[in-house]
Amino acid sequence: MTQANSKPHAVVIGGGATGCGVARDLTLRGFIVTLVEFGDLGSGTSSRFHGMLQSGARYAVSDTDYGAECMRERLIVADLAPEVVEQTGGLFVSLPDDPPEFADKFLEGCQNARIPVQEMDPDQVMAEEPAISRNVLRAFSVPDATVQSWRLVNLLADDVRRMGGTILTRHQVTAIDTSGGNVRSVHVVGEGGEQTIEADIVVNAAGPWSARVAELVGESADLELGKGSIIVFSHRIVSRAVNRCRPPTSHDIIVPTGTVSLFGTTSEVVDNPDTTHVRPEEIQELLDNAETLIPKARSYRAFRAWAGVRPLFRPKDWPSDKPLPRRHSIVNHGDNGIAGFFTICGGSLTTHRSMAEDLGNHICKSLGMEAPCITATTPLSGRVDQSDWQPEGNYRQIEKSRQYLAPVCECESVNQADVLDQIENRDINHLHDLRRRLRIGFGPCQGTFCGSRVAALIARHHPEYSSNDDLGKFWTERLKGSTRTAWGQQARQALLSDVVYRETLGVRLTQNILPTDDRR
Amino acid sequence: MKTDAIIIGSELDGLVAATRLCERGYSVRLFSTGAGSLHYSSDGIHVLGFSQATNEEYVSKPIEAISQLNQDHPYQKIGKDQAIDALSWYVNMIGDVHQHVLLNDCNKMVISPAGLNIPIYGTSKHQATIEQLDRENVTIVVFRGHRDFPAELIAVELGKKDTPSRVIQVDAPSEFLENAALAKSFDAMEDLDAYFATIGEAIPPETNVVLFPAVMGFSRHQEVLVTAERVLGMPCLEVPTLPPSIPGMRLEHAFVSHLKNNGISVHLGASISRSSFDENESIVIWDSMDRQYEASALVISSGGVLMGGLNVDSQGVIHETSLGLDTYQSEPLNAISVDRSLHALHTAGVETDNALRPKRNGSGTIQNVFVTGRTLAHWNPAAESSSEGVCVATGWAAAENAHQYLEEHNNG
Repeated sequence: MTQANSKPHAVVIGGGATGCGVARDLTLRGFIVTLVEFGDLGSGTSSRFHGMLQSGARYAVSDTDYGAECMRERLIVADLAPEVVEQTGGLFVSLPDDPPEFADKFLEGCQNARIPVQEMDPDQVMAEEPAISRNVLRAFSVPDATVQSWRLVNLLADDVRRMGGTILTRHQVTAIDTSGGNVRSVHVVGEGGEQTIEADIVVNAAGPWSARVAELVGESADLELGKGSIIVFSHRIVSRAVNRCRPPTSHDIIVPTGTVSLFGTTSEVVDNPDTTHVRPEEIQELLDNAETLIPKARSYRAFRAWAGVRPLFRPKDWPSDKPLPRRHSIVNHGDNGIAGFFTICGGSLTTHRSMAEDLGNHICKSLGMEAPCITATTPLSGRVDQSDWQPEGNYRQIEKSRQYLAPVCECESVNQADVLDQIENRDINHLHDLRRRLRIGFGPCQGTFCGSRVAALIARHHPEYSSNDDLGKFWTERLKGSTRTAWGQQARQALLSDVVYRETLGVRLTQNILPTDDRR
Repeated sequence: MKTDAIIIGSELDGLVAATRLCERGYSVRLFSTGAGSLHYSSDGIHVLGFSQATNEEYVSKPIEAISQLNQDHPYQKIGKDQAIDALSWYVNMIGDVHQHVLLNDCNKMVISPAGLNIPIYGTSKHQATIEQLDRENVTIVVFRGHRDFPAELIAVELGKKDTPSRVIQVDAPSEFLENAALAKSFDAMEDLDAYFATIGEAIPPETNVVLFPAVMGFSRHQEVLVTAERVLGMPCLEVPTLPPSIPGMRLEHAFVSHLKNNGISVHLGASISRSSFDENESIVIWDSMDRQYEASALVISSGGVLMGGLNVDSQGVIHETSLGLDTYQSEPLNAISVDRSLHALHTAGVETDNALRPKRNGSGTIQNVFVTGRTLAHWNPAAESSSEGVCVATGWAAAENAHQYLEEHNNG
């Protein structure tokens, strides 16, 4: 303890679902928490996945315990933050290519994991989902859902702030002081300069970047980084998340989210956690496989492709031929002489809360503290809405308030009041950060029209705002994903966007604006 | 029903070609699937603002800079002299049928809706240039609730240039707040004096230039702005909005009226379903209602990928959509490197000779087909800021080349 009788200080490194979940857990147990994130909240793996709130059915056969954990946590998340969850439901369909014996194992696995599962009439399923293959042999309905991951992460962070914690985004950890076998403090650098944060506990929740953080104290983290690429189709091609009924593997799922559908994912082991480039061959691989599940996949408008890096942790002495566990792992580096330093890795956004609970228990035990976990039963303080998230929800609000012209982003129906709230009350002043919080620029036009409208709202409050830099960065980042799918109507859309940004708005693409093309 | 020429597309280049051929006394038909890219084009003539895709330096003398462009660039193909002829012809013609456009001796800077500078060579009277705002005190007028004019960005950028400015909100003259609805309401307004007198009350007295969004009427915008200047007692200039662009639509409308008045058949909303031609023979096309049209020469001004004149398939290969003409592309278009933006997509298009004549299936040059504007390969309107200039120059050159062909053909 830094001072007798005072609350313990914890620094959490990483602002994804894991880090924000840990920050909330420790805050509720009485810690004074500072969370340090080097980008924006949820800008890494937490936003670069297919957006599912898992029922656990996907793991019911391969890892029944993990499947059961997903199901429990999925209900808790939907209960704590219904406005970020859409109860889409999920389907598992057996196609002629899928191993026929798996369907029975799947049913049994779901039952063992207490995942409500129901076998459906394949004809009824094909009638309800006209876009999917006409060769469905068996079909199962499970309570999968989708989650607005950025909004979830921000709700967790807002809760921490309200309870007195500190959230530092765009801050990089440069050093961690240890002495006498204990962590002492963490040095960070941000826009406001350098600062040193005293810490009794330091949590490494940096996801795919965990190994780099562990190196700061001379430790290692044995990670396997799996890059997964996803292709985004315009419109909701399916009404539920549709999975192939086979052992979990690559490109076997399509998920409706917001106004779009995500098909994924490829799977490739990479060395660098920043590898988010999607190669043209991966696009063709995704399209080829999508055609089995969604026969007309190539004729739909695909407007973006992107990739995320999923960190799986290799526990000590894990057999090299066995797939790495999906469940999270915790390392107490006190065992190696650095007391107070913990690494948490693996798991998923669905289980972020139970992961944090597990870690909080370890931390309290190491400090000899009695502080039970209350995250599952304590409501999130930042809740704005009691109803489930619905894609048309924003339109309902606009209609109710009779502000018919309020949407600044028609594609995602984002209204002006929400943008102004972020700018005026939450000090958000970059288009990218607004995009993650409000979904501006996510829809079919990929920010063509809303970018400058939203920029004008920022400029109203920030006279130093640089429209060329911010619009340029916003647009080229949007472009980075859509150049991978620039065929058919999407090629036209990309050029229209170019006409608006460069010919009409006059944005010049200088070297500091253009994203590097990380083609390797 | 045979005509001398058929033009495919109501792009600026197609409208120019049709007008020029009509002027030369030829019978012309123009087919267009719908609105052309003039709906995205702001006022004036962008001839050449930047000489290379990555160049951050503005070009000062665009005509002289033509010789620095790549040899394949459409300006280089038609040559500097023809480009000069085309532009002078264009400003004379457009001054008669629409509004006066001034060709300056060097590029000026117009102000964009984001407050940024865009180099421009030909300017119209009420188009806001940086020069006119220098050392002035500027009030930017926004119609309350009109979303497509991000005026605060203009104020922020003017502030950085030490030009004092502010945004004021005034009541819109129409119930609906889209660009076109606002423009229509100015066309219909009975008492312009009273309207601008009311706006005058909201304008701070230190103001000496007023900026309006470019929605100040479709058919009588000059009268509207002149009235505003008289009532407010200071220059009243227009800044472009987000698309659709009213100045571009005014120009398209003026062109189409002019063509119709001169007896040209303009088929709007018509698409070409198939075509047939032998080398150097007359060309036959069918529209979607299976009506047949024949012509001795064809100008393809179909607007490139942007307007559907070119299509990219899911393997990244570009195709010309009306005749299946041979195309050029620097790399597969599904693997565009983002650090050069969409350069490969822009520069892909139909390959032609210096007379803008294409080939098909690798065979010999087709003598009576001419390709113009965004459908041509080897130029990048967004990076060069050259769209109207290239469209006018290639449209005019196509008409002159078609004229030469028709003359020889008819005599022979």
